[in-house]
Amino acid sequence: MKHDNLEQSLTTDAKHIDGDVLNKQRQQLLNKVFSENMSDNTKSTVNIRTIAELKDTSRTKTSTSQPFRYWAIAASVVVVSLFIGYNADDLTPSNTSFKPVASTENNHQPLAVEPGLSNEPSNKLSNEPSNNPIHEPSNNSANTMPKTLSRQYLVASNQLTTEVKAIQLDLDKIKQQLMKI
Amino acid sequence: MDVEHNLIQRCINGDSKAFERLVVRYEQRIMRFLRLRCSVQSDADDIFQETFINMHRYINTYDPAYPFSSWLFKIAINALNKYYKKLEAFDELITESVLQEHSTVDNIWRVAKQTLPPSQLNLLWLTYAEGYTGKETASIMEKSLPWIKINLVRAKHQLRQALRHDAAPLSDWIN
Repeated sequence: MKHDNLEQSLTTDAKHIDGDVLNKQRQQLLNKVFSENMSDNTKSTVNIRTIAELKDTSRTKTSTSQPFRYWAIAASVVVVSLFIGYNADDLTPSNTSFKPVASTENNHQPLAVEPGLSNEPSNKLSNEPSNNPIHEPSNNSANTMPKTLSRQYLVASNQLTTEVKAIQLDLDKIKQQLMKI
Repeated sequence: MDVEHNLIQRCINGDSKAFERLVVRYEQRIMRFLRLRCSVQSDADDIFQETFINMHRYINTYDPAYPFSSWLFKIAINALNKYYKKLEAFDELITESVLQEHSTVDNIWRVAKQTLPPSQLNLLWLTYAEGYTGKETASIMEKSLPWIKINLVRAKHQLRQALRHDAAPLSDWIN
């Protein structure tokens, strides 16, 4: 058998296979694509994709495909964190026994506070005074504890607000894409 | 080529007419391939639909650096594999069906379909029926170029052997 004959036969015989598509079949395909694929699937895929992108950027886990839910969750996180940050300024000093002691003793002998605190069984703060700036002799020592805490909360809340802004920008982009569709 | 690129761009922008023209442009080639590969006409119809639905869905991911037809064949082969994977009886279907059908594929391709495994049948089709180069075929089938070359030789060898033992009308092929 000649080598070319087989290859030529493969080429010519392929053309004899019926490849006709009926108009009805084509119309069915077009209807399917533009009724289902365009209206539902593409929109949902757009939503899923954009949400997946948001997941990557914000590193949070949400299984929903609706942007407003995601936004609501992020906003509630920010509100709660701001609330905690606000209350921390008021609550932290009053719960610790440092404030009255530091203010009354006027910081001349701050280490004298420790025995009193160590008698309290469940106070963890009594075990960590050595590294804490509150025990350094200074006039503002009483306010340093709440300030450091509130700073942490402020930093955290700032980070969250920037993240929320970024999410909001992404959502605007999604809205624009959806409007185009 | 420019016309095709224009159609693709319009299709990406949601132009239904452009999509229809792309379908008309490629439907015969795809359907011919699917009719060769599929055992039942209804399977070919289903996979045909799936192929063009996927084309529409993912057309924005198409890279114009490669031929559009090869991208479309890639989709068709993927749809074909997925379809038969779902049925979970690919080999049985092929051996059973080929013995039954004569109307659509009654030539050398019938013997090829009986003889060769699906991957080699795809390879022969893309090479000789569609005229793709080895590199293009490798890209469509997601195989290496050496794999393409080796399997092409094997497929032709197997086909020649099968043609020698085939029935009278097809013995003309080996003269």
